[in-house]
Amino acid sequence: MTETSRGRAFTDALIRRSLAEQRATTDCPEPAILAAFYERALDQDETVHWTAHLADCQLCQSTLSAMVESEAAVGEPEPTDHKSRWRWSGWRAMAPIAAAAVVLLGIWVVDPMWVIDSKPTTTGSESPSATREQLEPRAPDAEVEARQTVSDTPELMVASAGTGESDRSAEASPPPRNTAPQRPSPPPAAPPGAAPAPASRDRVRPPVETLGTQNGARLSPPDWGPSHGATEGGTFVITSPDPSVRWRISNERTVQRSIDGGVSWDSPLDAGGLISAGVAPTPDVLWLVGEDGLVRRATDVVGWLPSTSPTDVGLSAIEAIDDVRATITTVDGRRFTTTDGGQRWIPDEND
Amino acid sequence: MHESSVSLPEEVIERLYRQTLRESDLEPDQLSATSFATALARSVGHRFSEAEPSPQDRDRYLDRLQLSDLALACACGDGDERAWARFIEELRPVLYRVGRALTGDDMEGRTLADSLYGDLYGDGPGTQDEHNTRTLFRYYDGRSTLATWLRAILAQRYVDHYRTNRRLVPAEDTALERQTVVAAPTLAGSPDTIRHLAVIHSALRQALRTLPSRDRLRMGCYYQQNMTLATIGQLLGEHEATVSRHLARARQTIRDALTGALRVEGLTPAETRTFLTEAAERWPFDLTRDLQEMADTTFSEGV
Repeated sequence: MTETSRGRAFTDALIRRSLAEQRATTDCPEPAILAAFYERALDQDETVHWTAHLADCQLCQSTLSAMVESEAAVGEPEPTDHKSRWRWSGWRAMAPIAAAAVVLLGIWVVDPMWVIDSKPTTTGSESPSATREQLEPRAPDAEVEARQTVSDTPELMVASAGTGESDRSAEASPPPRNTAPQRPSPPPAAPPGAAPAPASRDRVRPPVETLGTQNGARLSPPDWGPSHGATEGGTFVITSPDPSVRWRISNERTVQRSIDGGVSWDSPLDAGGLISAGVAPTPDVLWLVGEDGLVRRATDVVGWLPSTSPTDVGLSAIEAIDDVRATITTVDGRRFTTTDGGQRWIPDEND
Repeated sequence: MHESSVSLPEEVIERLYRQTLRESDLEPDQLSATSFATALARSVGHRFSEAEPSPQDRDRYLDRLQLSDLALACACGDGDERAWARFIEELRPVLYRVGRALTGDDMEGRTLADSLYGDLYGDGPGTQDEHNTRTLFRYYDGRSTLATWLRAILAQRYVDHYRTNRRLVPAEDTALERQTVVAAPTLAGSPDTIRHLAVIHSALRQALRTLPSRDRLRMGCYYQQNMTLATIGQLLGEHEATVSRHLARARQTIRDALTGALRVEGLTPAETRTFLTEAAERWPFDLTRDLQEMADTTFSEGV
């Protein structure tokens, strides 16, 4: 990590910590308001009023985040009987096959270009390590800058359960919630049960790999097993057209390859800098770009193939056809193309 | 929802009632005109806080309501069995899926979703007025879809249970956490270094406070909730590039505030970079303890 990126990461850590110090306020909106906010059905004055609350209330932010996360579930097929639920469990047990199937589906519906969406990831319980995770730099500043130019690009990411809750201290006074009286009584077809009290988000929400598609819709397969467990600092997976071949990026700079759909991973290879985007145009080719003009190209995990970079500016996106033809995009929007494996780069004429 | 309500003109109620019957597939015997009128008045009262809205504002508000969903909620709240059957058929699967998505577990998700039914059902059909009981449906105002409102309730309950669980963390875990906090390294720097840290910490808080609330919300979603740019955009109705741009700008504002604060302290740009880099290398550390130690040292030196 360069001196500059360390400084930026430190700033990020400070921001995260300061935000974590915010306490839940006591005038949280009712579900009806939250739902209307979510559907953007509030009037302008209400939106302004409640945004001011939501900006400082981690509790409400958590609720909104949970709503966003459950959005995709609204349209999912529902197992309706015991048998189908058993099959769901069986699906989980068949994690590698499931992973391959979903990746294959992803390959069908999106271009073979992926942009890493860096998210902090944690493992384990709400432990000191989780707290520490909150305080540690999640991504360099280049991450956001990089994402500025990739808005229309499909993205692939692995995101584990966030521990945003962990900093919401237990001593924070609970805001008034739904004011409806709690009157549990047997419903017509679904007897009420005690609401769950999950041990922690890490436990109940395992790491989930999310495939972005061009239209922004997301596919969230079930737990893919421990091989996809996120590591501290962030883990991302770049898939290739072959579902069994994928590349895993840890801590935004360590690269590993799997040739069995993520069941096992090769020895790590250091990228030598922070990675912001990558693409595997064919099963045996990986291109990566990152901060300070970082360009990396590999066909295996032995080492990086020779390539140059046309710029010292951070790179935010890359498109590639094979191991010699690729186009990279800088964070300030300039594009360069190579047809010889990165030995020479030709600037886009439109720039 | 507050129990405020406003009086609505009869003709408005009748128009909406007829419109709703046409659009909702409910029969007149399922949807009590009185209940529906009460729900409308309550919704308007909730929005305008009992202040009498202008007819234009009132009608604009009413025309945006999810009337079919509001009617279904009314009918269910009144204990209509066919309405309940429809609710169970159409919305229970959705609630189960949402519960599963929230908890990450099929059975836990079902339990979470099922926990709603008792509150939705109140004390059973036909008893609401008699016993003055309240079904949760009473709090649905029709401004969002019924499904989203139910999802908001589930999300709140999930978050609340999670918080409760956090409070009940086993003693040994808490002890371990405390130990770790105590064991956190100090910056072990000069008093100047520690003072500079305090300065940027203060500048950071000030900078965050002065950011527009929408920027703070984006930052909270990004840094605390770990939401992606796309999902933040989805939440706020912005393109993810817009979210990214605003985030980058807010971060730049904060960074400027930090470097500006250090400049006031007399640091050159090069010294500022070095300071931030060194601090980053030692992060995380116990700033509070560092400050306390600095205060103790200053005090002893003074003595």
